[in-house]
Amino acid sequence: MGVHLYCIVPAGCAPPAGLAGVGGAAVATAGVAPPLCWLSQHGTRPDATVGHAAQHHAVVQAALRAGVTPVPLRFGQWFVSAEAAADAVAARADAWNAALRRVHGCVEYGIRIEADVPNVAARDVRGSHAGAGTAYMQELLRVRAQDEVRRGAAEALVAFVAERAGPLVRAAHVAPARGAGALVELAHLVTREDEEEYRKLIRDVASARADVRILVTGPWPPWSFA
Amino acid sequence: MPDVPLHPDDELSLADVVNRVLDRGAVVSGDVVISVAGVDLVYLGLRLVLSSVEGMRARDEQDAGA
Repeated sequence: MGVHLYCIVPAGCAPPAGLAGVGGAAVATAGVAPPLCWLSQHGTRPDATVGHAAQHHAVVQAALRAGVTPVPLRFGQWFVSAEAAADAVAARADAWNAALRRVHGCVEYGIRIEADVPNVAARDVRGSHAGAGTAYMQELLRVRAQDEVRRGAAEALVAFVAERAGPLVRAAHVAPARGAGALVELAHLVTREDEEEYRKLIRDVASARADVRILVTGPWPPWSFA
Repeated sequence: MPDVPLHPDDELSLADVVNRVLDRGAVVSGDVVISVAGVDLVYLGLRLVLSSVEGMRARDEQDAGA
């Protein structure tokens, strides 16, 4: 028996009635003084499945929908009881309160930039006197050169977006690209009042860069700024 | 004008959710331990493992249905 934690919330922020978390378990509040945390009770530690990850996210998102910006907690935080969890949160109350202030009134937007980066040509060593070892080293050099081309393109795009979106972005996080074709992934922390203007601005950025594909997701809880 | 979807396709959204929930977010104390297929593992780049487990389950279900 134990509890699974979802997020840290400020005082007075209770889960909506009937909110279900991982595995359909009821979400409750723990803690007697702010900050508080949302958690659910389970017989055993929940498996890290894609479905449970989505349910974990849905609970954090529920806080955001209620108008509160929570500090999201990473999946996998398990305590033997709600009291033990509340004690652990209370032990770093100042840090959690600072984190809540940092994200207060904000949401996160994700930006994934995809582009076709020209391939660095492989050198054809067939018919030369180069052996297998030389060909292998030349391939390594080609891959390295390709990485540098991608890195340079990513840095230029990050600078391009930052130059235009900077005034509306309270904080930014640059993450390594995932998946084929992805050059770079950004996360922006934006105040709710600026959301509309931010979305328009990102559309303008995309218009100005027809050579890349820009995918925007959000609004998210501030996963990248917790 | 390039398309800038604010609500992208489900596949990308789900991948983003998993990426955020497992790779980002704050930690209350100590190590983050997650359990995959009943085995407790200290958190370390488990997105790949998750994909494999889910993939295996999907394949098992397909095999069972065949």
